[in-house]
Amino acid sequence: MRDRFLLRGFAAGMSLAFITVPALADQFHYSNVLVGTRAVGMGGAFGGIADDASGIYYNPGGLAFALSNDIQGSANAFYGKNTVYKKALGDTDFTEQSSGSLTPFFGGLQKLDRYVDGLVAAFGVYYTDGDLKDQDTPIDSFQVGNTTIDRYHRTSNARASTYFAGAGVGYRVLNNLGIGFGLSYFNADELLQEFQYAKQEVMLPLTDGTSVEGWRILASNLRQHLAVYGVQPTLGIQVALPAGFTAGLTVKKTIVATQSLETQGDTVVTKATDAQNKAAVTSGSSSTISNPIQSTVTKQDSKSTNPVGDLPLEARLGMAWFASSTMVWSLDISYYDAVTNADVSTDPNKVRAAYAKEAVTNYATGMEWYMTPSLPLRFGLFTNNDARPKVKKGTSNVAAGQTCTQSLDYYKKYCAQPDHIDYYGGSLFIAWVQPNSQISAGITVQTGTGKAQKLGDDLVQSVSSRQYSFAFSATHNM
Amino acid sequence: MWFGPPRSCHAWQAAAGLSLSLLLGGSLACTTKAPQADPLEQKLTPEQKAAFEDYKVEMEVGRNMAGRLLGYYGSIDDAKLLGYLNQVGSYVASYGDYPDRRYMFAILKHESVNAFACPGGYILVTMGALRHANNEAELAAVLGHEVAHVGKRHMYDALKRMKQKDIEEAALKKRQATENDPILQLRQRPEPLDSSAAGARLATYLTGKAGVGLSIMAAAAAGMNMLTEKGLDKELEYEADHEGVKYAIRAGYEPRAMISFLKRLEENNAKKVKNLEKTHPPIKERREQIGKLLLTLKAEDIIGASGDERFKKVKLKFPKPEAT
Repeated sequence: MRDRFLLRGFAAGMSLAFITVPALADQFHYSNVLVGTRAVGMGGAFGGIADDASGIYYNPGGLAFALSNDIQGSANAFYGKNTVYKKALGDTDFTEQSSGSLTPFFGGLQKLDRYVDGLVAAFGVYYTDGDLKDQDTPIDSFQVGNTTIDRYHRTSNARASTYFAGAGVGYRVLNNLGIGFGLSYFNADELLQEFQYAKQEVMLPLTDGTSVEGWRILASNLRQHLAVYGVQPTLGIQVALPAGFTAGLTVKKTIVATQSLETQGDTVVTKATDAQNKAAVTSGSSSTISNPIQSTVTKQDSKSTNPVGDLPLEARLGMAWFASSTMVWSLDISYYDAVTNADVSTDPNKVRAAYAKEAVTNYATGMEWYMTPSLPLRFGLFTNNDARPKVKKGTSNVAAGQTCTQSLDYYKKYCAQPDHIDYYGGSLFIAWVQPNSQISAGITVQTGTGKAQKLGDDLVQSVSSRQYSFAFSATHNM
Repeated sequence: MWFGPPRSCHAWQAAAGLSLSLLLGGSLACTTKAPQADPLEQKLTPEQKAAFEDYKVEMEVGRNMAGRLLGYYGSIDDAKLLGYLNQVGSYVASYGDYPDRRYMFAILKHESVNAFACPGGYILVTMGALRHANNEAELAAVLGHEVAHVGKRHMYDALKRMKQKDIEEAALKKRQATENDPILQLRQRPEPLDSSAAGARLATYLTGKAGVGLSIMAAAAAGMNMLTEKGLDKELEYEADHEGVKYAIRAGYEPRAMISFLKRLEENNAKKVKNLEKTHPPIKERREQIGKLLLTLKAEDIIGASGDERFKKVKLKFPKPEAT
């Protein structure tokens, strides 16, 4: 879960308001978490190798070329993410932060030659995305346009995970050709609970044309829960080519069985005067505020049974070159198709479904180099592109060319386009290999830039984001 | 010097623990405690300290090798059978020349007739060898042979004599022998040898093993080649035969048990003989050598136990053979 519901709704200038939009978990980047022991070090470029348990994710066809039975697990001992929205609050940057730990992969592989020559089975439990946020952001006295905001306070708690558990088999149909099939249970679960508060000093107009000092206070509570269940069949093929090259193709499609997005929220707008003005107003002849405290509550309860629609079909083309016993190079190109049937009602403007996705292509390349027979170094580079459309000023739906509406109570046009952040990443891991096992440790870093509309209006902010994880993994060969 | 499991640990527990923990790459279930800093160690002379370190490396090499064998063949986890094997083996060993050493016996799930003596006292006997034995005396003689290998440090000394280059070559040969698939060979990564100074330093740091100029993993890989492909020198095998027979006789077993074990193998199992002779001298020669020893020992005057009855009862409960 990367892009987060934010304080959309600080209407710049005239009024102060929150806009509640669905919590957008990060189903829009497909390489947030790299799984596998060797694969994570090679930037996730493993489709042409895939000869360990992580082959059920990268290419079940590669399982057929496994050298030995193995069991492996990896853990992101610590990960962190920091996204800065430049000048989102007037001249003030707004920062989203999250951190935690995650176990991206646990799996095992068993060669079944004793039953069928060339048959290999594997299982795996893995997370392709996960996030944990517990952020408290109080900001005092800042300027948005001509308006001074006395106090803004947001408390945001979120947890999210995209989880698979499955098994696969690989079979060496020819000496140089392996095919494989995998089937995984899929679950994406995201929960957001968020409180926002804002206080703005204003002059409350009276009916006689005068005004009195007072405050406008907004408080918003929101709880959103997205749950998606399904299965993901995966087909893979891998072929050994001359000169130490291999090539592989993996096709997978997540079939959604059930999905729901439940939203419960309320926004309270309170207009109040201070005590002195209250006395003057209530006793004076010019009283025009019958009740000096006025509250308006807006409920935002809703439920969608088709929030994400279909999930994209993924095709991964992998290549590897086993240059020598100490050097392997790999390259993966992954394509994810577009999703166009997500529920449009999840968007405040009702013009673009919050979970709609554009087609995305990612690239990854990696290398494994045995500095000594016991110390392999693995490093990789990869892209992690955004499946959301690029943010464009003046439109609420770039794809459809729709302009911003003014249907909501703001003085500026409300666009509320989702963020768009494309990441570039790198990984660097070192392993220590023993005859029957290996342990590895390293770091994965991603850095991205893009655009956002955190205020919901037609302003566009620049965004920079960085995420990193320190990971450990262990493999035992049996 | 004591390196083995606590005395309170039953033999079968030690053996079962050995199987499991080696498979998991850990240390012995009954000896999971890391070597404790012994105050007595502080009082050792430099020579004694060097010997102590040498024994620790021997244990590590042997444990690594035993782990590989158990990982490759699998183990028989029948607690009673393991208990019996350890009882007989420990009994024979107690009449050997190195009774203070600790020996741990486990059973490999394989129907070939063979036994492996890994440095440090890890002795692994195939299920096929157990089946082939006709009585306890034959089993005791086989175990005595392996106990002698360990006690005399045949394997460990041979590894120490090898140069680093030889060790690497042996490990490479072992790898090539097990991988005859060119496509899979492409994917084969280097054997972890820790040949570099940096690697050795890291390994030393991570394992806490000071070493004695011998890389544990490299030695274990080379030792595997010796155990399964090349074998020890012929003279060392004859010595183990002689010593093993002596230990069994001292323990009260029938002197000709080893000869009958080998003879029956020679007569009935041509394929198994071929496998065994890959790493051992020809059986006929071994029988002759043992025969000469028995003459010098005047074995015809010795009345030993065969342990028929007890062995038959144990044999009845042997697991069913698996196709190999």
